[in-house]
Order: sequence, then structure tokens, then C-alpha cells
Amino acid sequence: MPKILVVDDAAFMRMRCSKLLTENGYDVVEAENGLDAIAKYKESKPDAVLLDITMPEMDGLTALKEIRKVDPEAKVAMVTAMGQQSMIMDAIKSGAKDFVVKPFQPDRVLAAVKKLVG
Amino acid sequence: MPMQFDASEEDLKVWLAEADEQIELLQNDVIRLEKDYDDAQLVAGIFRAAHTLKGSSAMIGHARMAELTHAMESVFGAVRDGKLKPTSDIVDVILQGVDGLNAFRQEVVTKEQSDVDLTDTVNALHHIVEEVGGTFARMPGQPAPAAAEGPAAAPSAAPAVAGDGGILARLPLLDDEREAIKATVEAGIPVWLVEVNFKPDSEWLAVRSFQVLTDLSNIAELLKSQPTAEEVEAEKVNVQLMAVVAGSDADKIAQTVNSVEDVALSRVDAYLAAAFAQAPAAEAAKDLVPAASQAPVPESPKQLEPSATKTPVEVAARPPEKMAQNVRVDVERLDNLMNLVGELVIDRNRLQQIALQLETDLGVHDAIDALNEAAQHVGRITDELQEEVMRIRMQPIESVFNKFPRLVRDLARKLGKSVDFVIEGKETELDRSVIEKIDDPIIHLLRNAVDHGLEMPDERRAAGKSETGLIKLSAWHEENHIVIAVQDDGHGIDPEKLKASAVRKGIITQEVADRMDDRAAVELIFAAGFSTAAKTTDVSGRGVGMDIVRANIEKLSGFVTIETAVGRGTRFLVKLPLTLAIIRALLVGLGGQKFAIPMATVVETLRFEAQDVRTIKMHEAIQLRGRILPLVSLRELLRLPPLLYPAPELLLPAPSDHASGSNGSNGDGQEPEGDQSSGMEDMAFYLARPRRSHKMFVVAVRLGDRQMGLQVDSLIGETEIVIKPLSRFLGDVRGIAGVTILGDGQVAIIVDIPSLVNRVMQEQLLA
Amino acid sequence: MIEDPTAVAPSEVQLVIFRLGEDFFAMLISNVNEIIRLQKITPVPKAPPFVEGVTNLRGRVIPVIDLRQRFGLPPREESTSARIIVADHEGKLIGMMVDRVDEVLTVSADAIEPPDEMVVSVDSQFLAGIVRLEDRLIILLDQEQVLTPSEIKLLHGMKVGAKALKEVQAQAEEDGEDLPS
Repeated sequence: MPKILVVDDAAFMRMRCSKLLTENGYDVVEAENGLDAIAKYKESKPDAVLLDITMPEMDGLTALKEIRKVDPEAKVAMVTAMGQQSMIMDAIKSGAKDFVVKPFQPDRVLAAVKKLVG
Repeated sequence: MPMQFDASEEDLKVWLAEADEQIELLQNDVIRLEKDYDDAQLVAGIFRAAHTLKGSSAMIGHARMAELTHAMESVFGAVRDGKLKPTSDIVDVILQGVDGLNAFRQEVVTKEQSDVDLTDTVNALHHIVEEVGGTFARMPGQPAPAAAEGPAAAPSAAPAVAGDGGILARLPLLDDEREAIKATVEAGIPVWLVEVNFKPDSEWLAVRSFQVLTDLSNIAELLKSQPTAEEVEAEKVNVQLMAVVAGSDADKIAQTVNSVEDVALSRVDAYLAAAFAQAPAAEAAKDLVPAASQAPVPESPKQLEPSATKTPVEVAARPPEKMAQNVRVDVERLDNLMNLVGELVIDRNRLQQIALQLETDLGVHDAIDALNEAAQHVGRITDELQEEVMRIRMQPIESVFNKFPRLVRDLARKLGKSVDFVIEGKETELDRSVIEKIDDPIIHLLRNAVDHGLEMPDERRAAGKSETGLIKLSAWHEENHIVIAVQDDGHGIDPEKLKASAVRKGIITQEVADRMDDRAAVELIFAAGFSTAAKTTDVSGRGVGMDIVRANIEKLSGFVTIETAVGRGTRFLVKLPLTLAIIRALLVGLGGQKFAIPMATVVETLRFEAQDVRTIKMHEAIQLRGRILPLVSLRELLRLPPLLYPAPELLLPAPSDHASGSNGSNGDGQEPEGDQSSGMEDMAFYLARPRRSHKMFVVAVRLGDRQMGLQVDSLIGETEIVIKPLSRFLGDVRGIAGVTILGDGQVAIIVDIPSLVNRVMQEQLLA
Repeated sequence: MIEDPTAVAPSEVQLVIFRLGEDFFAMLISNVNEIIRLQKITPVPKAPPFVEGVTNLRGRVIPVIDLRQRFGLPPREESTSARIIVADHEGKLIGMMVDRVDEVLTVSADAIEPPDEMVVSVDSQFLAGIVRLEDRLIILLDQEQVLTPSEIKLLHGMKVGAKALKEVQAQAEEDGEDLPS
């Protein structure tokens, strides 16, 4: 069962996302900020990461770079709100594979995760 | 006979969109060949259009269309290579071909084979090329020509198979880029042109473009892209992205690109060495007919297959430079938007009225000030919004004008006349609502100019003019109007002849004719049932007279005037409002009811004393600055019940304050204070006062270059109104152009001045 | 189970009951969009006499006919109870002025009798039927016939008056149109 790390500071978003993924046969690990995400990544070695950009403690872009340092093969999709195109491009430059726009559509999230896990 | 095409319904839509573009281009440009055959750009464009059509019609299996376009392409190739001078006869044949294309296109829509047979046209086209030593690569199924000549014998006329799909034309390359690609290809590394079309509704175009470029860089070497990576990062992107990459293979590239979200269609094509060998002249000279082609093939077309067949082919995308800043919007949505803005205009007027009312009723109050301020702000924003929406709806008049060169050309040839047709100002913009309706009047004026305006070549020569007549169609803006002029340098209109003709036809009496000045005589052309040609030709004598033309133009709140000089020519000027959706109107009162008169027809408003009215030849009129202004009562025109005046024998002598009179003046400023009431709201005033001394309100309106005074009960003011059609239930009530909702929520009738007044004018003119 | 109070058994119909003078009339509620108070109506010059004019229905301009005029009844005296019944006629809204609107009545379809010319004051061509209640007689109008195709033709032709109407009807009959007589 592929394992997905869901990183978001909003508990509701985490919950929705976790529920969706669990229902579709994924194993879900949650983290609520960038620092937390790095720790959880090291700890649980997920197959893919859904990473929110705007977060306290450590934002998604920094977390992405850190995760890629830990694991250059890390498969990360960014989760973002509208109007953050330049950030997304930065993220792609830093190795993000894809992104999902909030508020997300379930099938879009599933498609992105499926593509990441390959 | 039902037809089947090798494409899904969706694909056919794309096919049609593209075909329409190409056919339109051919329609517009082919007739320019006669004169501008040495315009390389023009010819190249025409050639490319025929070429693209050939390819796409072959692709869906429309053999007759492919055959026709193939033949046309060959002719254009010969023109391009300077081997063939397109005479009028040759252009005639090509135009038959263009008509055929339209018929074939229609077959794709209806899936029914029409009985259009273009075998003769195709043969004629073949013959034209063979005459100048060109050759054909016959289409499959056609008998091969007796002696197939190779490209060496006729290098350019024969559509050499470059096998590149016109690849060099699809993404312009700089010289060094071209060299680099060529070198890479020659070194055996494949180079691919990747075309990516995103879903138009993608909200993340920049990121998607960026993803495509990043992903492509991961599997191949990115040589060039449009937009560039820098432009993408600056979010300067289009729904289409083109990239040139070296290495990898077509399948992998397609797969990579297609895995990016929001990619609607992609296409991967290989740059082949042959493309460079013949560049740039052969950029489009590619035969889509595969191996069956008779022409020697420098590079096996089979090499094309991996790219050409395995990736979805999408060709409907417009050139990127057009996509850059534009969004396509459904016309219906624009109309809706305009309607909503219209509602807003009504509410704005209403708000302002309420604020005013409150101020009148309650005096100064902070809340009223605030309301006033808000109302004004809403007003300003509404104005701006309205202006913006109007601007969005504006289209260049080009789409209408483009139809005319063919019309004029065909007509002139039919009549044996030689015409130089010049179009000016086709970029002039006006609202859709008007654009849709101006075809017919212009067509009629143009036909008239060719048929009646211009002389036959020998007549022209005899008159010392050049044999080729000039017809000029031009458009320009004048304030809030567009002016369209149709001008010829023909024999002009002879007022004496017109008069004689009108008398002969019983339209006027000899007596009237004798009194008529030249200007009025020329206006006779607009009289009902008048035609200037001695005999009715099948060209302009289609049962529609100039009277209908004038009526149609006036229905659009426009007017038409005529200038003519015997021996020198005639010019018709059509002046139209830029929009018909929201107009300025003058509100007048009749009884307690308000009526709106479109400002386009209003010249001025006047106040007169009833005693200033003269009766001239049975008609009422007033003198205005030395001129006679015929007077009619709007009340009577609308068949409203007359106001009740006391019987004449009860009339009192005119009060002395009017005795000094304002004869000949516009009657203003002579009224005692007590008479400044707003007029008709106060019926008692009119009932009580003898008619000879009451003040009269007159709206001077203009139709063509004639004026007439409309007597109304009161003048209320100017306002912007949104025209709403009168319910279909009521039918087309003559004299009523529509209705509008006023600021106070009440419905006002919009008076159709042209239809009301025209008849009266005609009567007075001809009486 | 909660019963929908507006639900009507298939054999029943709902009627809007209104009055012109002393007579009770009805229309099928399914054809009625709404009922509004009599509001300012703008006369349309040169329109036929039974067309009262046009009015502003929340930004839409709809024509209003006076059913009294339509049925040749004497003009109405001013009253606050007058209403405009807004009906949907072939996708277009049309207002019909009536003296007052009384109620919405549910009646059994069986209660509707065929029209009997003798007992009503209105030209039978407009009648769909008669509903006899204990205390009164209700005339069920045929909305389509109140505005028949020949009527529209008449409006378009702008002929006015009863004579023109008769002409058009005669013409319609000649044309083979199926008009009730």
C-alpha cells in the first residue's frame, strides 16, 4: 500500500485529504508544518508527498528543498491556492513534480497522487 | 448520397474551423491576384491556404476536395514562381474553385454529397499549369500524365515532397537556429517540433507551460521554445506552446507532454534534412499524398509516420501571436453582458431620479447627500462599464467589407466594365448590432455604383476618362457615428434626366418638376418606385429600390445622403450610430405620456408661438433662420386623440404681450412668467388658452439632409435609453421603434421617426 | 408522511378565479405566471383597442390586454381590486387586466361542463368550459383562444375593430384553420 505524506497547517484540509486518500487505498501520514514534514519524511519514508506552500514554522518551498536534500528522489506535489504561479514555478525548479490547486477536486488529487506514485 | 469522413464529430469541428479560415483567406485574397500577383507575401499566403486545405481534406478522406485544392495549389505555385500571370480568365477559374470549396465544405457539414461537379474546373486548372510548363503530381486514382517530369525539370511548379508538414513555417527560426537544427539532424540526432495546446480554460497556463518545458528538458535537449522559458516565468504565455527538442523519440515526448495537466492536444513532428534542403521556398511544398505520389521523393514519407500518425494531430490553433492577449467570448455572452449593463443604466437613471426627488421633497439632508454621492458614483461606474462593454463589442468593419471585392469584380465582369475597387478604413470599428445589419444597404449601393454609376469603357474613353472606372468604399468615424462612403467616378446623376424620368413614371407632375431645384431632383432617386437605369438589369434591378435602401438605413437610426456631379461621379454617404443597444434620446411629452426620440435624428429643439405658424400650400410650417421648416404634429402622426381646443369662434384676440410678436425668430424668451410651466402635464392650460397664443414646442428632426419640425406638447430632456423590442405579441407597430424603461420605472415608447416622417416628407416633397 | 398541499390528483385541476363585472371567470393555474396589482400601463399608439398598453414587469416590458375590452364588456370603473394576471403565451409573457382575483380553486375535472352559449355573456370562442358551483357559475377561459393565431395576425396587420376581427376570422376559416364556432 503506497504511503503518502500529507502536509498542511489546516487540520480540516489534512483531514479531508487523508480521508480521501485512505478511502482510495493509500496509507496516510500527516504533518502540520514544514519542520514536522521533514521529520515525518525521514521517519516514514513515504512514496509521495502532498505539500502545502503557505505554512507557519517552515513554508512549503523550504520544506521541499529540505526533503529533496534528504531524498533527491522524493516525489512531491505542491498544494496551493490560486495566484501563486511564480511560487509553483520555483517549486518545480526545486524538484516538485506536480501541483494541486486548492480548493481541490478529489479526482484531481487522486490523479496527481497516482501519477507521483507511478 | 450520404458521405462518410474519416474523423470523429469533434475532429470534424476542428477541421471545419480550420477549413473556414483557409477558405475565407482564399475568398478574400484570390481576387487580389489579378493586380498584385507579384506580391510575394500575398501569393505565399494563398498557396499555403490551398496547401493546408489539400492536406486536411485528404486527411478526412474528402477526395474531390483534395483533388481540387491540389490543382489550385499547383496554379498558385506557378504564380509564386513567376511562371504564370493570373489573368482575369484564370482568376475566374480559380474563383469557380473557391466556390467549389465552399460546396465541399458544406458536404462535410451535411454529410451529403452535393451534385457539384468540378471536374471541368479541375481540368481547367491542370490545363492552366500545363500551359506554362508546370507538371502535376496526379492525385491517387487519377490517370498519370503521359510523361511525368521530375522536380529537376520543373523544380518549383511540382509540389515536391518535403515530408515535413511545412514544419519550418510552423515555428519561425532564426538563421543560426535553423543551421543548428540542420546540423543536428544531419548528425543523425532527431530533432522534434513539439506543439502543445492547453485547454483554453486552464487557469495555470504559466505553470503548465513551465512544467512542459521542465519535463521536456528532462528527457531531451531543449533547443528553442515559444514562449521562451524566461517568458514563461514572467507568466507571458499562450494557450499554445511550441518547442524544438533534440533527442528522445516522438512517442516518449508525446507521452511526457500529455501527462502534464491541462494539455488538450499535442503534436510532435520531426525536422527532416529535406526540409532544410528546400528551405525556405519549399516550406509549404509538401505533398500529403503518401507513397502513391508519382513525383520522385527525396526522402521516404514513411519516415514521417511515427510522428505524423502516433500523436494526436491538432491544427486548429491560431497563430500564437493572435492568441497572446485575447480571449474568445461567446457572442451571446457579450449580448447578455450588454443587456445587463442596459439594466444598470436604467437603474442608475432611477437612482439619480430618486435622489433628486428626495431632495425636492425633504430639502437638504446628510443622508440625501450620501445617497446623491452614491448615485453619482454608481453612475460613473456604469458609464465606464458601458463604455468598456461597448468597446469589447466593437468589431472592425473588415468582416463586412471583405465580401465586397468579389461582388464588385464579378459584377463588373458580367457587365463588361473595368473597375478598380478600392477599400479604405476597413479597420474602422463599430458595434456588432450595427455590423450585422449594414451588408444589404452597402451591397445595394455598390451594385448601383457598378451598374448605374460607371460608364462602359468606350463611353469613358470618349469622355476622356481612363477606361477603368474607380469605385471607392471607405469608412471612418465621426463623433459617435460611423460614416460609410460609396463613391464612383462615373457619369454622375443628371437632375434634369431624373426629373424627366420621374414625370414619365408619374411620380411627379411636370409642374412640380419645373419648380424643383437640382438638389431635390437628385433626391428623387430615393422616391418609391424609382429606378434610374433605362432598363432593369438583373444586376441591381432586384426589386429593391433606393427607397428601400434609405428606409433600411434609417431603421438603423442612420441616414444616407448623396453628392453627385454630372460627368464626374457620385458619392453616397451613409452615417450610422456606432451602436444600437444603448442610445441617447430626447424625451418629449404628449398628453401625460412620455415618448423617446432618438437623438440621432434630432437637430435642435425650439419654442414657438402658435401665431408664428404659417400655412404654406396646405402645410403648416415655421420660419427658422430664414428657412422654412415644415411642421407636423407628433400627436397626429401617432394617431393620438387631438387635444381639445375651444372652437375658433370662441377664440379671444391674442393677448398684447404676443402682439409685438416674434415673427421669424425662434420664438424664445417672449413668454410671460406664468407660461413657463412644463407644458402638457397641465391640460387645463391648453384647454383654457386660445390656440393662437399658446406656446409650442417643436423638435427639429433630420432625415437625410432634409429637416422637419415635430410639434410636441412638452420637452422633458435628454437621457440615455436602452432599446427593448416591443413585444412580438404586438407585432411590428409602424412608427414605433421599441420601448424603454425610464428612470422612474415607467415604460416609454421610442418613436421611429424615419418611418413616421418619411411618408409625410415624401408627400410634401412630391406634392 | 407529509402531504404536499398543492399536490392535485390527476383528475383535478386548479383554477384561478377572477371577475369581470358580475361574472366569474377561471383560467388554468398552470398557464398563470403571477398576479400583480394594477400598475402604470403605457398606452401603445396605433395598437388595437383591447391592447391596453405595455408595462414594466421587473425590467421586462410586457403587453397588457384588457379582458373587458377583449370581451366587449363596458369599461371598468376605477378600483383598487383590479389586477393583472400574467400568463405565459407561447413562451411570451402577456398581462391580462381583470376586475379582481378571488381565489384559487381545485375542482374535479368532471365538474367542467362543455360551454353553453346561452348562459354566458362572452363569445363562445373563448370558452373552454363551465364550472357550476352551488352558488355561482364559473366560465373557464381558453387562454389560447383568448389570443388565437388569427388574433395575432390581426395584431400584426394592425386592423382594428370588430369588423376587422370578423374579417380575419372569416379568412382563417377559409384558410381551413380549425376555429371553434
